[in-house]
Amino acid sequence: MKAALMLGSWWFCHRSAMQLLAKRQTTAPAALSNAAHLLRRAAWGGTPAEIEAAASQPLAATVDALLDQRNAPLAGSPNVRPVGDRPFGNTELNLWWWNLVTSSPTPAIERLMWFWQGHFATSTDKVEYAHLMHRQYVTLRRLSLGRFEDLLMAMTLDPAMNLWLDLHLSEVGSPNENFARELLELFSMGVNNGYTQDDVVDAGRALTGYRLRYNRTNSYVVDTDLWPEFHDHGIKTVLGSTGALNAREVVSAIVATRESSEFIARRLWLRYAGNEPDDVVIAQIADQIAGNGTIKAGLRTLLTHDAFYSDEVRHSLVAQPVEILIRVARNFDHPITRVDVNSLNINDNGEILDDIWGAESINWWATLMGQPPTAPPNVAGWPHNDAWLDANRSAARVRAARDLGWSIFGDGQPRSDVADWMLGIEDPRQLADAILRQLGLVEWSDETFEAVVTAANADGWISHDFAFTTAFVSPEVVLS
Amino acid sequence: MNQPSSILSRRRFLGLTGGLAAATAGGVHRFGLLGSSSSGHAGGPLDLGEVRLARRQVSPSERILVSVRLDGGLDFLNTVVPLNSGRYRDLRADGAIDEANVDALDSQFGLFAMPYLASRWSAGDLAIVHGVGWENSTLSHFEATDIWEKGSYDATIRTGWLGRTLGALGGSAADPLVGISVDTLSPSMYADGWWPGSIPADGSMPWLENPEWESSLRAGIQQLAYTNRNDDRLTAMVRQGHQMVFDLADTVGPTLANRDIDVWEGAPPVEISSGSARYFDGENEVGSGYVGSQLRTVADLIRSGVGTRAFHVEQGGYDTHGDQASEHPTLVLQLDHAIREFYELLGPDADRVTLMTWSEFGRRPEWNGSGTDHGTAGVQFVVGAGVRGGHHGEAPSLDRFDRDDNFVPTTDWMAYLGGVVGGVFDIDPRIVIPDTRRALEVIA
Repeated sequence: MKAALMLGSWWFCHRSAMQLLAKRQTTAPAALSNAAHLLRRAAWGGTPAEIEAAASQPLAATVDALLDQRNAPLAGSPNVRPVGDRPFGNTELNLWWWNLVTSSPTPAIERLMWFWQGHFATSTDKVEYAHLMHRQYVTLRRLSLGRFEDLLMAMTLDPAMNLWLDLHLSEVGSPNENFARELLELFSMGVNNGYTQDDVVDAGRALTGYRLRYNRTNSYVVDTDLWPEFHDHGIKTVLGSTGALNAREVVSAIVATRESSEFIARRLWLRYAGNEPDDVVIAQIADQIAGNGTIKAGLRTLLTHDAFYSDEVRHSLVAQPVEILIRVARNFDHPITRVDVNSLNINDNGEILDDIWGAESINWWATLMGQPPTAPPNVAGWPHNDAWLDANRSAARVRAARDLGWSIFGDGQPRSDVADWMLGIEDPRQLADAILRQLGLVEWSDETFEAVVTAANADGWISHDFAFTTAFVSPEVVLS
Repeated sequence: MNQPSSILSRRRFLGLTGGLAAATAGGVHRFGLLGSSSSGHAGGPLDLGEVRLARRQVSPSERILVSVRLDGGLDFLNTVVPLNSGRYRDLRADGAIDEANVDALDSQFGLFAMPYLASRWSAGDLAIVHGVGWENSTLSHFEATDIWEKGSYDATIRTGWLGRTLGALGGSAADPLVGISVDTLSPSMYADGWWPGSIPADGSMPWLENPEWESSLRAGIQQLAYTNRNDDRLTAMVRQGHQMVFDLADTVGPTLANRDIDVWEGAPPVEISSGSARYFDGENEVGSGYVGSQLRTVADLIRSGVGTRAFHVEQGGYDTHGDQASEHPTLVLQLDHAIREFYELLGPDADRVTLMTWSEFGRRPEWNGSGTDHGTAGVQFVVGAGVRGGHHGEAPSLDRFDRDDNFVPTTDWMAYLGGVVGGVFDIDPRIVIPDTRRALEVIA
């Protein structure tokens, strides 16, 4: 079946390579262009076959298929062999995560998870317990498409979040505001958007006494509990609700505000569309999220909205490095897609003792490009757009792409069928076309195409990895 | 059958079989980069770098500003410690710094864990700027950071204060060396549609090694970089990013290559003997850390005579809501150590370099049991060339707080910024900081 798909792509590539000769810019039929746009934003970027399949049906049908959770793999767990006094370490966590996101049959579910990971941005740099980061991921995944209230409540009681924002140190008489402030400012309402410093202070009091529970035999943290003797039982007022409030009542008061649903709608729009949103569109998305609405309904409204397919939106989003790496790993069948972390020998220092063909390098490339996936820079999450385009990030992108290209096409690498097929292409123009399509594109500028051809024309041979590297750092791929 | 062959062996193979590939059609004719490629990489974009460097007149006496952002909100009270103050000890309870452990500056204040800056105070070129902030702060990191970075209270402004300053000094996207951010890209450096240069802390860059074997790759990416289309804004920035990498690699790349630098540890610990030494029990194990490595890279660039006017570095970790007693002393000692090493490395260039700190806010006056929450007014330091040493601005009252129990700011952030920018670069600060009402006279 794979061969048949590739044959289809081959003819498709060949045909458009011929068309190219006459044009400065390849353009695709609207259905194909919309499908490719949707798959780059809602998932990680489709293969040529996936894009053609999506283009052959209405966009709404593709969106519904993308957001269908029934085939989503269970989150599972990395190897439970302890590392020191912990169930597992960051090496296991990272390998497990990369393998899941690159091999999952439900890429749009993983893409939404990536949104939530950035929204409730928690870092291994402070949390240090990999198993708690894993637990947070499983919790987010269970609730990612459902009601926002459930998600917000679960994150309030999440032990990794508790450690990250110092909630375990907050007790009656000496509350600290770290979590309470970010709960309102970053997680649910937005700065200057319907709450005051008094709300932060009283929410901080309501959130006292949520301490960590430790495993009895090992010393590691397993959960969060409310310890009544450390909780402030006094009367507080948060967003107009008055009483002896606790965490659940604070979260209920927050999600009852219109500001909270509109804030989440704006955050979704920022990360999926990228440009300054239209208030009417935001209200339509928020309507789907508010009350007993769901994130799934809100995201469906966003992804099927005419505004999402506008010219402006198509030129408004820089792809984050992790997103491009996942696209490449999936579409070029990188070794990371085949790593089973539970069958690996990993020592107490986190070193992998088996040969996994350099699959672990993908985490290093992400780190090099400024985006170690489990260590966002701060609680506000990953930068947006311009901050990925400076010289430092551009240089890192070239360095990572060069190694990534070699890992796909280089001598002695365990090559995928896709790589083998491309290595059989000896015409630089056919090669450039094949690589750009495999990167999820259906249209590109003539300049980018010629640049890839230039790189492919090494001295006396065709360099597949140089062609790949150049395509990887082209504006069409850097921008989503 | 498929014997693993390393990248190195492939490079050797290329070197043996063909030498340098002639760059192919469609190359970068606009800059004439292809004609001289047969002479090796020296004939490539290096010319371009030289052209660009020559375009701006670099004078060895130009003043240089180094911006050091302290990310998270530096706790003012435990850094510039009020002396003989029962009120201070009440507010900070078991989080108070013992007076025996500070370096007294005068009868009012002592510096904690900053022995080098204390020596600069004695030498007369350390300014301590008190009460820096603005009224009606929301206590948000991100809003405060945004106002600092933009250097304006106008939320609609997109550019940063350093970016506008570099623009006023004649910088543009075509001259990435006018300003350099080391690793941590700060929106304060964002100019009108372009970024000044940025490099990693270890200074490593592509395009410096084995240029021959990857010449077609280089030519391909040059084509992406120097294409001139009717680009949308983000696409134009992608191309600028590539252009800057070529420029930086060809100009400062060789200076920064092959240095022996431990990026995360920085310089090893130094012995300290003054008041703060007692806090650390003589067991000082704090190196200059990552901020030390960033500043060392800045020093190496300044020494190379590259002509950059402003640099930006960052030290993180100051958001000490909890566990402040173990984190804050290490951070400030690390910073002090980094600044010491920086000025020592500068040698004769030290006389033209001014270093300023900024942090989004000071922290809450009252101890929360394990640390301090978000506050308002903070303290900032300016040290080095042209600095009028001493106290600037009024120290905020410890007795009279605002309605949220925070300090009442005494020095407007825009006055601080305008004073530094105007003084160091000898320009009217209102050109770049429109909200400057009265610039603080912190630079002579």
